[in-house]
Amino acid sequence: MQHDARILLIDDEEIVLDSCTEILRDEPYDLATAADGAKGLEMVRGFRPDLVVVDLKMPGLSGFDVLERIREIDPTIVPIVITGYATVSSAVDAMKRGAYDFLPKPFTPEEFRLIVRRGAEKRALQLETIALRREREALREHFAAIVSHELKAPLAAIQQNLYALERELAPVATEDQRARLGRTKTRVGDLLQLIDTWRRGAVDLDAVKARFTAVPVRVPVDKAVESLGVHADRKAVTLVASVPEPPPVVWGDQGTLTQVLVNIVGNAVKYSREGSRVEVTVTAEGDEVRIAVADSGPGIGPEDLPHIFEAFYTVQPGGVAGERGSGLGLAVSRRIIEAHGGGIAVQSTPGKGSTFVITLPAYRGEDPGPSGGATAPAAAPAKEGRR
Amino acid sequence: MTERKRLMIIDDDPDFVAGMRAVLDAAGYETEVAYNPKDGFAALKARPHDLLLLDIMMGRGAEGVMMARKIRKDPALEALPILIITGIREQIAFMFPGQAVHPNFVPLNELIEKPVEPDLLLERVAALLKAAEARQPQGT
Repeated sequence: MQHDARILLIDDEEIVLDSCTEILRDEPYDLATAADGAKGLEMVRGFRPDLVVVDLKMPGLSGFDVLERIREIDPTIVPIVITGYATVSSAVDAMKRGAYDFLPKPFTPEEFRLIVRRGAEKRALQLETIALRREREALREHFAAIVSHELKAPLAAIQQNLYALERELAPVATEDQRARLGRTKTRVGDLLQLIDTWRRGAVDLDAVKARFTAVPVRVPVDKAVESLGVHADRKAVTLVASVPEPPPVVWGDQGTLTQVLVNIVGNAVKYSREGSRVEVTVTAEGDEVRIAVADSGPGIGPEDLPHIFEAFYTVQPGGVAGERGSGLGLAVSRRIIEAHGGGIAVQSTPGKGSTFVITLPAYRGEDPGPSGGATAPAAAPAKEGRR
Repeated sequence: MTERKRLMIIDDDPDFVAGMRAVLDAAGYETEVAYNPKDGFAALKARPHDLLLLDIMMGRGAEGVMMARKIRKDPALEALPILIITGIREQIAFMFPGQAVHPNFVPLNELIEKPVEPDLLLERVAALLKAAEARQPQGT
């Protein structure tokens, strides 16, 4: 920790506050006290403690309530509970609500000092872990940005010259030379796409979560359909989207949701036979928004189906010549959808087609906050855990 | 027939420029190239151009963005149409698929991704030149 650990004591008994302050007088802590739960929570926001020592039994807001609010404000704060009514069940209850440690009254100064010291150490480790994780994410993202640019630049130069050569040589090239030039272009194009996909996979999901806003599902769906229109036209694939009125809204990041849809719908178009149809259907069911992408392509064999969301897993396409993926798109898509608290599943019948279904929690008009799901969306699973 | 349109290309990758320039030359444009923003800006100030094709990632970072902003602040160059050609689709173009570049980024521009298919390149260049002519019918 850069600074002395900040410790907030919340207790309605002045004598407890005074004696605890006295016990910690010579320790390297920055201390603050609050006489009830409401004042304590105010100080949690203002004083930004590393450690909160809270009495369970207080008039007004109880210690349990305080524990829960603290966790909402900042789940990395280390809470320690003290109480005169020490029972096993209240201790278990406090731990369940995120308390790190439990100290029954009366306690000796040495016990209190020890427990606070342990809590401060825990907090220091916690902060260190967070800092390391941030650094790692930033490094990974920065690294990915640089590497993708360095890889793409020469490929773009090669491709640009292939484009030019193809036009310049058109009058003199033989059929075979033209075909080889065309295939070379395709291979370079695939490589460029692979780099884009890899770059997307290195996205810092914490940064993506920080950008969450209310997103009408129509927006990413329309963007995806629009950007794939050319590809679909070229293959004479009919691409249709239907979104109910009023359009469902989810809590998320428009950019990455668009990426996911471009990937899933793009796959559907890619593996569709000429002249077939790809349908994107949005439905709202209870607390869930479902986006189904259905194609009538070759389908996915039962032996491949359990693995298609794994990184670098590719399926040999049956019947659609020349189309092959990098095996990254679906893995990246799943990562993004899971960061949104949703899921992605697939049903497929070989020879008949595949349907990918993305489910996202519906947004109910309340900012769920940075923790992403403490209050809304209602469909978020009840199980909680520190991350 | 009107005079040949003069295009300025600023891009630090000579091989990429060669591929793009060949297409533009063949289409009858007069092209001039600078391989860094500093030389490019000097060339733009030295004689009039009808369009600028600008790379974003040059030198130590997104120097093309700084360059475009500088041009927009220069009274003699503010009307010059700029076509951004960049490899960093991830950071910029993906946020605005099928749209003109976000007004907060650089005003009045269009952006296409590297590598660019010749037909698309020629179409965008022609469209921007036409739009610029419509804004200034008497020509200068």
